[in-house]
Amino acid sequence: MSREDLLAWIPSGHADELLVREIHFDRLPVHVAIIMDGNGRWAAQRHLPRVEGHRAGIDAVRDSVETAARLGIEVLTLYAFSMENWKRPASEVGTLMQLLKRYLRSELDTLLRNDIRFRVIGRMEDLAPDIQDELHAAIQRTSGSRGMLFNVALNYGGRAEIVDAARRAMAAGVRPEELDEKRFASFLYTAGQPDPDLLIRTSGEMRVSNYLLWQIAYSEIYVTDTLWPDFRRRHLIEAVLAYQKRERRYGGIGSRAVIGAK
Amino acid sequence: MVRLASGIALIAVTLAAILFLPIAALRVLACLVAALGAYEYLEIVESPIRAVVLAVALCWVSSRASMPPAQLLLMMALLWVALEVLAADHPVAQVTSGVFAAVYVGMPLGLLVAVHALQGWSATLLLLGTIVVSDSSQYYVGRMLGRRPLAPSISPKKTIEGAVGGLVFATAFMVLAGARMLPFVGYGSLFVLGLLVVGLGICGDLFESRLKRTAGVKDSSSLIPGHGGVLDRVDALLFAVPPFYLFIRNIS
Repeated sequence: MSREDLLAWIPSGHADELLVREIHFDRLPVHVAIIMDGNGRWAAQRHLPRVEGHRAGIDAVRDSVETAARLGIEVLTLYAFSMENWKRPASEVGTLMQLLKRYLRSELDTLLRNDIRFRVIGRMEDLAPDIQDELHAAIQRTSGSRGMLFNVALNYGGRAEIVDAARRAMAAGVRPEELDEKRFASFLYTAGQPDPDLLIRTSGEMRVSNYLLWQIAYSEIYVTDTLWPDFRRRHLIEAVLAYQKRERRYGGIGSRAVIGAK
Repeated sequence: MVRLASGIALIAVTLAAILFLPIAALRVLACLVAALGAYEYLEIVESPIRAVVLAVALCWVSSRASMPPAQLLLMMALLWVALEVLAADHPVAQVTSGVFAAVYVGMPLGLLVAVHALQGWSATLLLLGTIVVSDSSQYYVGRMLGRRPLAPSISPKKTIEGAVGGLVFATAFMVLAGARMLPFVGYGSLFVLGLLVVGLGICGDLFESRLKRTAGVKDSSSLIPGHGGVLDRVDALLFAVPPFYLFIRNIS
């Protein structure tokens, strides 16, 4: 999509308009990955139960997905539920799963309208069967979309993904000498997708938390103190602007700009 | 043969409804079953049939994901009893036992839909599966090993051995299937939940037997060929739903 697409969506005179005009649309990150952190803290600040934070986080998801799609980002990957999150109380996990289901039901039309393709990365087979059903339905219904690819990491772990990829490579009968980085990447959950250019983490934590370990090798990391439920269009645009100011060197010296190179 | 055929049909219809019907339709379906069950109950206790309305009303409000406004219904029940006794001149005992149809049949069936609304068909099938496993293991273990009667004055065919078999197999089912259907719930909770659901299910079974014995009927009706009536099918479920619902509500 484009500047016009995004501006058409922003009420004229809104402060975000100025921000949008600063974006270099020829140097957008192709793949943006987000660690959605801070729901619990957001709720605690308001003396609410943790699940209310997750509930509020849904609005941030909605806003970010639509902003990213209108901006013209090709792949958006959100970290919704890690394999380690099973350790949380059953009441919190149960609510998270039902929120996911409700989100899928209520947002499917928005996804289709914005030509967004929905995908899941992670060990989906360990989720409750009705949740799996719901996910498969959303994947299937949006499979014809040609716009942004929207990955949700569910029951995801970066190390587990690498182990799964190694297993798949072995099962496919790949000989050790045939295996290189490119081949190996084709066995990851994200096979065929570009690596994230920009990794955003909310809530100020400076951790990678087992997220896309293989794929973020050269990602620019942007950490904001904003808590996830407060994260909106403006924050995503700010992250993109910060990204566009960086010099990406991929291990070289890079005196000549490869800033935001695709 | 008739029993087997209608049993399979019943399971198929139930499964299809739980898997494919939207919540709104399930709510209507539950109310329909509640109406039939309440009708059978009211016949048995010889109470005015129109209390079916109360059972359906309680089923409807219980089926929502949010906590039902209990006071409103209790007020309705109070008014109902007053009108039946004062205006229609029915005996108090008869009228109050009719109001019980709402608590006995309406509420649990509504809560079953609420379980579906809260945690989806995975949780709903887990409960129904546990009850089915409990019923059949009670029957088969009882037939193979049954010696000592469980409650000779209520239901001569039930044995202690059968009940233990039901507790063992159905609780095992709850734990194993529960780990799959509700992957975030621990084994300990599932175990306790299994014992509660099966134990109360057996109570529900005996309760309905006592009900029929009091009235001197064998089946609650002959609606389902070879199976008796609606109440005969859901008797264990009616008592097992509340603890399961409370648990699901707690984790949602």
